[in-house]
Amino acid sequence: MNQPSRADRFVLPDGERKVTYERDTKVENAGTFVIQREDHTLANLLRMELHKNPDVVFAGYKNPHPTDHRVILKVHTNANTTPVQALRDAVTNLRAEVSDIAQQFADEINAIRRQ
Amino acid sequence: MERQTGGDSHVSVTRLEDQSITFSLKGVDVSLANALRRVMIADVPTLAIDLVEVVENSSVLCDEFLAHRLGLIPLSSKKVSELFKPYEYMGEDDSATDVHLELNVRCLTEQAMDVTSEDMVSYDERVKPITFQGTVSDAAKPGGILIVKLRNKQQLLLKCIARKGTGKDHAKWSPVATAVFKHDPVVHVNQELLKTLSGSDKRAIVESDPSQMFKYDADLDTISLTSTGSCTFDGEIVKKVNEMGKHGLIDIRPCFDSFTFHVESTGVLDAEEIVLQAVHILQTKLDTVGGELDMIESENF
Amino acid sequence: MYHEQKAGSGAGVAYNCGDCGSEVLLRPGDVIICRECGYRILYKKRTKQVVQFEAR
Repeated sequence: MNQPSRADRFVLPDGERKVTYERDTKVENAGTFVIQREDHTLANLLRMELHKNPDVVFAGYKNPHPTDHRVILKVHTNANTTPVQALRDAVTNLRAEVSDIAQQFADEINAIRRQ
Repeated sequence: MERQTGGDSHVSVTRLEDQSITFSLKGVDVSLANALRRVMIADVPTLAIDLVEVVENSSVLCDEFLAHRLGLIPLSSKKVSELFKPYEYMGEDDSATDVHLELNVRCLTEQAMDVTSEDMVSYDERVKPITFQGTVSDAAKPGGILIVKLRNKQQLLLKCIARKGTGKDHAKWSPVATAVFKHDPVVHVNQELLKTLSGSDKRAIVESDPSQMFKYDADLDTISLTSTGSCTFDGEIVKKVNEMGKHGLIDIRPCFDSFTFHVESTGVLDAEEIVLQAVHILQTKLDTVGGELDMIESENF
Repeated sequence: MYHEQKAGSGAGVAYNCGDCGSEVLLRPGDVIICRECGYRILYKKRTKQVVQFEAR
């Protein structure tokens, strides 16, 4: 009766933005991203990719509560780049890597199936 | 300052069968491997019975119990890409989201009757309950999944509606029986120390390993590595080596960027289809976030 | 109501006997007893309405 619908875990309500960004008021080049309706699958992936960037000083994420279906990603960069730019680069690199894996996998499957 | 570019990932498929696949993924971070595993379990859509209308049920199981069991029956999901999830579809046409199945059985014999998934009638040829092959069974209908048993004069008449969903919503929609990955081991054998051992010592070391990764060659008096696929990092062989006083003879570590995946499908989708879908869904997730970030960038500057 | 409810004083409501399983029709005011075997515990039949469940 009080249970929210199971679809709340992944359906974004109307009017809500998937990703919001708030600049940190006290620290230069730092900010917090809130990604709605995502979990460790995506957040850990983004965080580890951000760590590979030498201009990123700090990158961490948390899932505030299991019933709260969003992740908070905190990014702090040095003066060479901004958090938004760093995350955008991370997403671009990951996208390229995943596409590469998809292609390799499809090729492998086709090669096996042809035999 | 340039970050090191990626592009050194490598995929190779070791074994491919209809319902299971083993492949290795190298040159990627563990977070990517884990993301792939999580998507395979929770985000690849399939079909499963979601609504059950009970017209007649005189069996020993109550309505909701039966409905729960019916939901868990795996349905072949080749059609799932053509369907919409109920909350994604705003139109009037039910056939865009629903597939109907029916179960209508009555026990007429004195002997108890098994109602299995083979008794279910689907209104769509491509959506059928999966039957398992190759089982040794003396049941009247081998291969069907047992739903309930009926006594004489007991009847079951229900209409089921199957819908598209993901494992995140309910486990009945998960397409995999298991999706696991493990780190590949990096094995180093100190050949200098090895020379100080006798043949029987070497044989003892090889036998102490439960995963049997090594092989002792009596003619050449050497230990060689066979396959590392069975490695479980149990450390037994290192313990044995240390007992003999030869510390550092064998070193087994997990490789931090080389993984072996093993995916077993429940039969609803082909194993390779699950992995391909998983990778595409991961791409979609990244694209969504990327698009939103572009919007944020344009708003801020 | 969306459907007509037959008045109890019409043909009577059908119940199942607990012992022999035969059908018993009862009108309001009838003694509660099976006509075949005399058992006094009668069970109501399953509703004619179609019930819907989520398969979860």
